[in-house]
Amino acid sequence: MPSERAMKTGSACPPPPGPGKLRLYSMRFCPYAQRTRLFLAAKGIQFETINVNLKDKPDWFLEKAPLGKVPVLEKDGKIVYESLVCNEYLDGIYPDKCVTPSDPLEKARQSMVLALWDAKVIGFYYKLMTGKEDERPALGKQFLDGLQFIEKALTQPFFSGNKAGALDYNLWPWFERLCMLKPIGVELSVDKFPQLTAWMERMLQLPEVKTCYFSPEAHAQFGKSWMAGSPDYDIGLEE
Amino acid sequence: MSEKAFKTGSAAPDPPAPGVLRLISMRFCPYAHRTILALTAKGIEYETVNVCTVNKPEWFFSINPLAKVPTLQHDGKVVYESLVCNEYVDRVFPGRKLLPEEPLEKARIGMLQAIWDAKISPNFYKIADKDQEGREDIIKVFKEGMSYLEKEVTSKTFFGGEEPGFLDYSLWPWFERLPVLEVASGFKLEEAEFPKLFAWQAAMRDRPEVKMHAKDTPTHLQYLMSRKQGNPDPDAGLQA
Repeated sequence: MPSERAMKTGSACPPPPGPGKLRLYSMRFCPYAQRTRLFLAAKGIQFETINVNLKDKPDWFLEKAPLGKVPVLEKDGKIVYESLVCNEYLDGIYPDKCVTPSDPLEKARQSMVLALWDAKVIGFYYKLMTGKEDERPALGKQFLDGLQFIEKALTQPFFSGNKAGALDYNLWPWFERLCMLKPIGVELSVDKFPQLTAWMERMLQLPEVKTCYFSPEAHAQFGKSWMAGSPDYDIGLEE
Repeated sequence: MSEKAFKTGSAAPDPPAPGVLRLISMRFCPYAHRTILALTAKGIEYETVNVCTVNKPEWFFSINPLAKVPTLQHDGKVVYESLVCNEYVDRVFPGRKLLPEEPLEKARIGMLQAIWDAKISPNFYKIADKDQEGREDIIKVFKEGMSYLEKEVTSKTFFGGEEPGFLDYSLWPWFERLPVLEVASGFKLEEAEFPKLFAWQAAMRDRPEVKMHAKDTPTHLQYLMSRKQGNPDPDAGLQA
């Protein structure tokens, strides 16, 4: 079993995966890679993982994926990158247990919610983590106001209906990390976010979410190391 | 229906009649241009309501909370985000299919789009500004992005094959505006460096769906200048 430790600049290019084998290039704490890990877990697909050091990227990784980001999928010489592209690709090559909605309007609706997320929420998420203390009250308000758009889009037990689907997995990673905002005073209250808080409880029960889960402590530890400029990609791994 | 853009303070137009597809657009927006090309290529009938994308009409926010063009309205349904609109109409309406079925081919479109979004579109208008800080490096990244596209144009005429497809229409609006960069700042791509992209551009310019909606460089420049001067004129070039 290959090591989970993140490969970095100067490392030798790993041999390609065997015929028919699926490989994921990832980083254990990357929320975008987690989207794809959730799809893989939900679909019950076998795969191997190579974690990459995103601060000191190996040259061989940049040759495979010119944008130098995870997640990246590799199978039988084919490379796919971009989390949402990877996820749809997985549904394309493993068509049973399809996670992406088949109805065009529902697919469009899910994409539009992600556009709302990108426009109204995610920017403030990162600004809150990296911003100055006196900026936090204003940023926190913008973040929570933006999150109301997402709250309003959740009208069923899951974003995808009675069961979790693409949009649930594509949003989940940031909700798993919400605990990181607690120390700076940003939390989701049940009265302001009744749908989202209940959804979070439901998601935490799902086996695929548990498979990909890291505890608030692990996320906090990684976040701290990242903000200090020395991200520790191997937190929690045995020496 | 008038082509003049609705602005802040305008009264909302009546909703589209049953069965009518309405596109909320802006005549110079490259993102809306993507959807106009897809609709035309597929022979889909639609009506257009133009809005000012800088001084947005308030009523637009209740249709699309992001109040961005393109936005489609159809029998109570609303779809926004240019590529979401294009995929939606491709699947729901008849006409030539713009998206491939094969998963890797579909993924390739997404990956090229990501390279475009990372290296080309954020830098596009920065290049027009001769005083732009770090312009040399920006141009380098821009050309790097273009070289990925150059590699992708293979033996077929278009990214989509023998006829333009999803990616051709997603990218074309910026190529139509490339001459603006030359007029504004002298920047142009060299045919010797990008022979296949040049051939592709010529082939695209010849397409009826492209010609139907093409605007000339002076008109594009007129709009851009109006924006730069703080008085955006989405009706530039329209007869009074």
